[in-house]
Amino acid sequence: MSLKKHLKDPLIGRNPITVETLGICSALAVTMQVKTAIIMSLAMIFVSSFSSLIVSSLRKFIPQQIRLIIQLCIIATLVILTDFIIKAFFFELSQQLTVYVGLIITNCIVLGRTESFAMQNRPLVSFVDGIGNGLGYGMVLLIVSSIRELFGNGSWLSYRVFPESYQQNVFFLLPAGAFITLGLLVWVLNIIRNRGK
Amino acid sequence: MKKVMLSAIVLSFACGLLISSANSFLKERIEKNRRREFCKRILSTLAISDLEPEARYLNIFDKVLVFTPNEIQEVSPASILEKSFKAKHFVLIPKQNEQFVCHIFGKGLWGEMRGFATLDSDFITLKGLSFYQSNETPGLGAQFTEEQTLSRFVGKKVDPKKFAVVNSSSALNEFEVDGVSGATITGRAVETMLKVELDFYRQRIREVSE
Repeated sequence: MSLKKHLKDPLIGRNPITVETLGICSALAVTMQVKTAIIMSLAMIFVSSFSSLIVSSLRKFIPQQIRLIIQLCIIATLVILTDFIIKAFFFELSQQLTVYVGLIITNCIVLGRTESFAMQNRPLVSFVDGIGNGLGYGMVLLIVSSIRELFGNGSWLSYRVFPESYQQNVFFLLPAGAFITLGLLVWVLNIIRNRGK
Repeated sequence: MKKVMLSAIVLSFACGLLISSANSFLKERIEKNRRREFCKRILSTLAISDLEPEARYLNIFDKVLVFTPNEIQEVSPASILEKSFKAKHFVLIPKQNEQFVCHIFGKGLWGEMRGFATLDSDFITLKGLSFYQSNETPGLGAQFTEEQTLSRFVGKKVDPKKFAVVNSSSALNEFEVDGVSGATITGRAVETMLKVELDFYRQRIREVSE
């Protein structure tokens, strides 16, 4: 398979959230605003690509018995580094993201890719696969957060779209609204996916 | 077995080294951000914004009064910026105008909220409000930490009995603040916090001036 395919596949055809239903927790939690969703996606792309790269480079030296522990250790290190960088350079956003950057450690997408893909493939392909999955995750986050911020708050990326008199639709800001928005998105993306077949 | 032990040790060592070196590189920057944000929040309660919040802060404030159950201590404005500063009840007093920037704290929906409320010399009119620490729900309760919502508190009178954060579109009097729909609990928390804390400072400061 070409590198391009590894980058494009996780967007719709094999999207980690809508097809594999992984990483739902953070997808619901950080999508209230577009800004937090973007930073979270960038953090995710960084962690998922570099953890795949490192795991794949070390795959011949990782003992079978403790491979999950080693993968988690690498992922955790990268997540902590990301957290430091966000705190040092985007302090205001770090206060809005609170615990969610740290929770990338437990995001199934990252561990899922290192375990099922990076452990069997070459570093470059794994790196691209990591970016692709991060992008797939980011794409869903961006769509869900756009819908939620627009209808919930009447704004997009903090810019007012609907007039000031727009009555906030709190339903979209609550977790239940996130679930339903995501559910509808899964439905739409599945239609697109099946049409391509 | 040897290989397992060896790779575990090497990896933990490498990861540990990486994290601790990143920490020592970025520690100063993170701490500087924290202080900057802290000063910015304090200044915002006096409706001042400055590109160099820390310098402006040190310039504006004269003294800080720390209240402990038995006594009152005076400390320098610089000392409360230290990470080791742990006192909970303190008031910042600006050099020029007679206002009191009170440190307030209380229980929010998910965790403790901490911030500053500025009282006018009449001890009842709120001149500004800002939070530097909170864990409220993003998009809902967290709106109480944003400029747009905080500005609704300015000019309101925090009377221990009448002050209230309300969710209604009807006309508001000088004791009522329009809340955020969907964030009733945080609204109530802010209301209680302001009532209880400011009442405390009102009594203690009066004791001092008498």
